[in-house]
Amino acid sequence: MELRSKVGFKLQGVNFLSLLVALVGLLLVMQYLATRQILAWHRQRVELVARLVLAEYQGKIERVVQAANLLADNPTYGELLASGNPEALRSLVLPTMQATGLHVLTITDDKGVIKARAHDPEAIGVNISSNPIVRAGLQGKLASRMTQWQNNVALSAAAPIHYQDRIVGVMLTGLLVDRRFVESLSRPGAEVAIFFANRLVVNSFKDLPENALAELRRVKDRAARAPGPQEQVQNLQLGGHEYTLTFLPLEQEEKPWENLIVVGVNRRELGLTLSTLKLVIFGVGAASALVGALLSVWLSWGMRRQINHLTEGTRQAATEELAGDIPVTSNDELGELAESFNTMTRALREKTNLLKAERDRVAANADFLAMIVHDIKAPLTGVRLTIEALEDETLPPEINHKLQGIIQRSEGLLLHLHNVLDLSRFEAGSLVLRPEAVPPGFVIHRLVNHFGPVAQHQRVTLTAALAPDLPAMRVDEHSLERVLSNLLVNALAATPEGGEIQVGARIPPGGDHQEVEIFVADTGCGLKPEQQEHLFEKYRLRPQKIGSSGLGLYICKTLVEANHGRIWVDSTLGRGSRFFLAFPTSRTGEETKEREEEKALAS
Amino acid sequence: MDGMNLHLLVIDDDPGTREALVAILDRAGYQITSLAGSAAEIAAACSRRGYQAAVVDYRLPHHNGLEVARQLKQAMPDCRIILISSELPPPQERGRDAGLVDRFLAKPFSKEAILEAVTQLCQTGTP
Repeated sequence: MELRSKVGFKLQGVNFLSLLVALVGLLLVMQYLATRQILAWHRQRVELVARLVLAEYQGKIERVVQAANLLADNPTYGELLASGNPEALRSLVLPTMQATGLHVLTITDDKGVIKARAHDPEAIGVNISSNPIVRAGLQGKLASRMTQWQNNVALSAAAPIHYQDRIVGVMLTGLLVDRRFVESLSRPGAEVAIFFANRLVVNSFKDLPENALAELRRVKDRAARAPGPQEQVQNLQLGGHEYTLTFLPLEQEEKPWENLIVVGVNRRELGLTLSTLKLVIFGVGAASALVGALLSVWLSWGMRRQINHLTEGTRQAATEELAGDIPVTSNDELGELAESFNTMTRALREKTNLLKAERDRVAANADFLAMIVHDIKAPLTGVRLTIEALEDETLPPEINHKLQGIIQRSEGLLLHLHNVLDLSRFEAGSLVLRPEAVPPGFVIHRLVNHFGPVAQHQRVTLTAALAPDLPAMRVDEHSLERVLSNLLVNALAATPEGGEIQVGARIPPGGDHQEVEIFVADTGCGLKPEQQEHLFEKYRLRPQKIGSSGLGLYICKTLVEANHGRIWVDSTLGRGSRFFLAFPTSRTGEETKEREEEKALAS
Repeated sequence: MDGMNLHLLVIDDDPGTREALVAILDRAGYQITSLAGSAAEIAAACSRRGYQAAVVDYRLPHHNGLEVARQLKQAMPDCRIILISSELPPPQERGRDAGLVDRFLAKPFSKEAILEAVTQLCQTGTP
C-alpha cells in the first residue's frame, strides 16, 4: 500500500536525526581518544629514538676515549717519546689513525708540544697545552669533549702516556662531527642535527633551505625557554616534511642549550596513521548509520502503516460516514488506539442510527401534522367564505353577531394549528426561514385589515401607529406574521369591550438605527410582575385565557429568536400590556422585498 | 360594482369554497364559471376563452394549480391568475412559474381579500 503518513515521515526523521547526532558525537569522541593515544605512542617513539641517538653518540665518545686510552697504554709510544725519537713516532701515527678509523691523532710531549700528528703534519712543534683536554691529559686524567677543531667540530679525547711511572706525553684522538657522523647517529625516519656553541654544525635533514635552518634555530630557542621536558618537544615544518623535534643537551653542567643534538622524527607516518584512523572511524560510522537507517525504516514502516490506517479512518469518520473499521495491523499502542477508535465509531454508529431514527420520526410527525393542517385549512376556507357570503343576506343582527363569532373562533383554531405546526417543525429542524427585507408597515397594515372585522365585532378599536420613513427589517415574513397574529389574538382576548389596541413600529429612541421596534399595546387587564417573569416559557397559562395551551408566547419567542430578534413585555396590572419586538434593519437598506425575493429565486 | 361585463373562472375541488366564492363574486357583479378542476373541464374553458381572471386552487386532485395556470395563460395571455392555497408552493416552483401567477392568496382568506384582489387585477389590466 502507498504510505503517505506525515507523522510516519516525521517519526522517521526524528529517528534518523537522533541516530545521526549520537553517531557523530560518538565518532568525535572516538576520534579524539584514538588521536590522543596515537600521539602518545608517537611521543613515546620519539623519546625512544632520541635515547637511541644519545646512546649512539655516547658510544662514539666511548670509542674515541677508548682509542685514546688504548693507544696511550701502548708502551711503544711512551718509549719513543722518552727516547726522543720523533721520526719513528711520526711514521707510526698515520697507519695507526687509518687503522682505528679516527680523524684526529696527535701526540704531544709532557709540555704539550705536538710531537706527531697524523692528519696535519704541518702543526708539529705547536704547543697546545691550553686545550682543556690536553691539560687534563698532562695532569694524568682521561678527558673527552666536543671541541672546535680548525673549521670543524670534533669529538675529542685525551689520555696521558706513561713511561716508567711518569707522564711523558698526551695521546689526543678525535672524530670529526661531519655529515657522515650524524648519518651514522640517525635512525630510519629520524634526522639528527648537532649544535655546537649555539651554531648548527651539521645535520642529516635533506635539502634544508636557509630559512628552514633559521626556523630550526628559533624552535631550539623556544624549547630552551620551555619550563618542562614535555613542552621541549616541538613540531616543525621543514621543507615538505613535518617533524617532531627532541633536544638532547650535551655536557649539561655547563651550557646545556649551546651544545646539543636535535632529533627530528618525521611525522609523515603519523599523518598517514591519523588519516587512516579517521577513514576507519568515519567509514565504520557511515556504515552503521546506513544499517541503523535501514533498520529504522523497517521498524517505522509498520508504525507508519498503522498511523496511515488511523489517519485515513479518522478522516473518513470526520468527513464521510462512520462506515468501516480501521484495519489493525500492529500489536503495539497504535494498534490498541485503532482498536479503541473502532469501538468508539461502532458506539457512535449505533447512537447515530438511533438519532437518525428519532429524527426521522420527529420529521414524520411534523410532516403528518402539516398534512392535517392543510387538510383542515381547505374546508375552513369554505366555512369562512360561506359565512361571509351570508353577511350580504338580510339577517337579524344577533345571527350576524354569532356568525362573526364563528369566524373569530375559526381564526383562533387556525392560529393554534399553526403554532403547533411551527413548533413541531422547529423541533424537527425543518422550519425553513427565508429572511428578506420586509417593510414593517406592509405587514402591520395587512394584519390590522385582517383582524379589523374581529375587533369591530368585539367593539375594540384596532389602529396602526407607524412612524414615518421606517427602514425595512431583515426577517422571515411568515414568522413575523405568525408572531404578530399571536400577540393580536392575545390582546383581543385581554381587552374588554370599548378598549383599544394599537399596533405600531418605530426606530427605538437613542438607538443607532440598527433595529426596528414593533409593539402591540392593549388597554386590557395587564400582568403581575411574577407573571411577566415566566411569560415566554412553554405551556405557561395566561390567566386571562382559560383553555389556551399557553403555546402562543413560547412560539413567539422561538420564532423571534430564530430571526435574530428580541421580544419583551412592559405591563402594568389593570392598565394594559405592551409587547415589543425588535428586529435588525435590512443590510441592503433600499432593496425592496420583491428584489430580495428575485435574488433568492435566481440562486 | 363595475364588474358587469367581466367573466371570471373559479377552479377549486372543495365544493364549499367553490360555491362560497361563486356567491361572493356573483354578488359583486361578475359573471362566473366554476369548475371542480378536471382535465376535460379545463381544456373546454381554454378553448372557450374570454375570461378576464381566474381563481385557481394550488392543490387540485389530478393537477398542480400552476400547471392549470400555465394552460390558461397559454390560451389567454391576458387572463389574470389568482392562486389560492393553504401553503406557499415550494420556492423552486414559484421561481419557474414567475409571471404565471399574478396574485397569491393564502387560505383561509376573507371575503374582502378576494374581492380586493379581483377588483385590482381587473382594473389595472396589467399586474
